[in-house]
Amino acid sequence: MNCESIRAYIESYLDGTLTPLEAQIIEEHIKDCPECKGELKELSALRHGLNHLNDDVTAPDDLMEKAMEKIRAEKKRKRRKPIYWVSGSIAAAVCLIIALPLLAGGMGRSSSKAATPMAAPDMYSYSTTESAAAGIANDDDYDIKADYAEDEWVMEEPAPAEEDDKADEETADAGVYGLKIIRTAYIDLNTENYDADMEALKALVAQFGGYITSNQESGSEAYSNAYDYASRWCSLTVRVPVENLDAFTEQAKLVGIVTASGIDETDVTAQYSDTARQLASYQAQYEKVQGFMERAQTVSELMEIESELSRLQRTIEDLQGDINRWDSRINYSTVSITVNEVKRALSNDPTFGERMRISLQNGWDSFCDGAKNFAVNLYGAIPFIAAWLIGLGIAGLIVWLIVRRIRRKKMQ
Amino acid sequence: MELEIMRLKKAGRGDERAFEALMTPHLDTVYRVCLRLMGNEKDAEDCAQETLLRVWTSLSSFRGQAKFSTWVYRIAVNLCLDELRKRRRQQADSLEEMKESGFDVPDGSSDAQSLAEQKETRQVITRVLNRLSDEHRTMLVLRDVQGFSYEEIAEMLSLPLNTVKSRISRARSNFCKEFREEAEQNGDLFGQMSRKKEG
Ligand SMILES: [Zn+2]
Repeated sequence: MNCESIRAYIESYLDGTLTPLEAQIIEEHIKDCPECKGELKELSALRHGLNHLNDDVTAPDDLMEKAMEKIRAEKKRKRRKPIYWVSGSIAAAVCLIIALPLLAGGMGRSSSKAATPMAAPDMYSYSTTESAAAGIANDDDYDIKADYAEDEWVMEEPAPAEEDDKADEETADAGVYGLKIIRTAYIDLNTENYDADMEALKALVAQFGGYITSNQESGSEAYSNAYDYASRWCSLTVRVPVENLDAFTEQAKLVGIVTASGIDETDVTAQYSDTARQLASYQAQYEKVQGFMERAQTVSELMEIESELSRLQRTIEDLQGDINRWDSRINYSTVSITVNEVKRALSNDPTFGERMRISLQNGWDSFCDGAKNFAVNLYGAIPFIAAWLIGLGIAGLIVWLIVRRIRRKKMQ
Repeated sequence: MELEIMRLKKAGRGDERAFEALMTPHLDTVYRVCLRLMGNEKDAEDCAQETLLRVWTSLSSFRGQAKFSTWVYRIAVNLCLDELRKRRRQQADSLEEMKESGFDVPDGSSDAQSLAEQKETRQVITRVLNRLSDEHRTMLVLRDVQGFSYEEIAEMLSLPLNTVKSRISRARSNFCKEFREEAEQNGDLFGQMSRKKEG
């Protein structure tokens, strides 16, 4: 082999990337060829010189310190702008607090009272958003989803919202966690037999394995009896197992006369799966970070790991809380029932005659009510009317006396 | 490595101490790369600091597609090359001005006189390195001085692997040629170096 082709391989020889056979060819040539030997020696000396060029070089001791100063200066620079925003919004809020009562003065005290608590939380939420927007101190874990669970870790970006993929994704979500649908219902009832029907409703709730979460009633039986036009009203919120929802609403609707009803369905599959996946990922992270514990070598490393663990724990608890709330709302449907007491309830499908009769009865009732009301109001107003008449009489008397005196003077 | 991941996450959320812990293992390499690319300590320090700042501000854009260290060195290399390019432009401008105003601009060879005093091989190598084009110097610094793999260098410079290989090869032969020129003016440098190596 000639020298030229040997020299083409010298670099690879120094890199150690030649096969043993190729290396052997080079070595054998060099034994007999002082020129190539010299070339190799030179090149290897140069390579050696370059390789060890930085042996004694270390970074200046204060490199990190100075860089941190720059970083903090940069942080400050970025935050300064938001401070203007915050102070601006505080000033605006103060102006609002002062101005609102003045503006609302004519509307009575209640509205001016409301202005203060409304403006304050607004202000606070604004300032927190701004500091988060400064970017650096962003503590929002939901945005950066790091995945310790995989060996090649990635900081995921929010999934691109492409319409076609979304449909597939949702089907995939449903595959893992099942369809997650929150079903709620509402029923508005009119009843002539308020007490009996309320009892019937409560019995139904128990029968279908549900429970009452709130029961607000207004009006009282005594009041209802004393005044014909006054009636009782109840807003009942109950939870029933989702599998009994349809049967329950069917039965409940038979209790009174239905004026409105419906079932709402909200599909939370996507959000639910998203949260469940995040939860799984954070739990995996937690276990992984726990594993670091054994390998920690210094106390500060140990403390670093522990603080990370407690942070992960908090996030896991939050996410688990969300899942639990969803599960509860999915497994137990909320039914809002409103019961109105009426004197005469129309059936759902009234005949012409029935409507005429009820209309006539209602007309007579309202005439009687009106007459009674007039009498009651008139009776209640008598002392005031009397006082008013007396006042009017006195004023008239004074005017008459003055007029008479002026006339007499003119006559003289 | 696992600690690195944890610190990365914390630093990404603005934890300064995690950031310091994260960067400490890489400080020397960052500084060395900067020193060899910039050619002097003052500029190297500035660029190293700037690199750290740049790493901090772009932590959130690090997606873990490369090793974290490679990503950091990539930032350092790009920063140095940008800085050199900027300076070269300014230098060219002022050189033009000086020539126009009738100044006698000395060429690089006049520095060769002081070479006799610079017996230390490292200094000579440094001199020769600094005289190379940015492209060739970058290749030699990353491959032969810092010992990064071809793949890592391709990653840092966003170049195809084959381009990196051929550029390194060209840079080496160019370096060798330049060094020989120095050696001719400065006695038996190779002899010195070989003896050192053996000893
Ligand atoms: Zn030969």
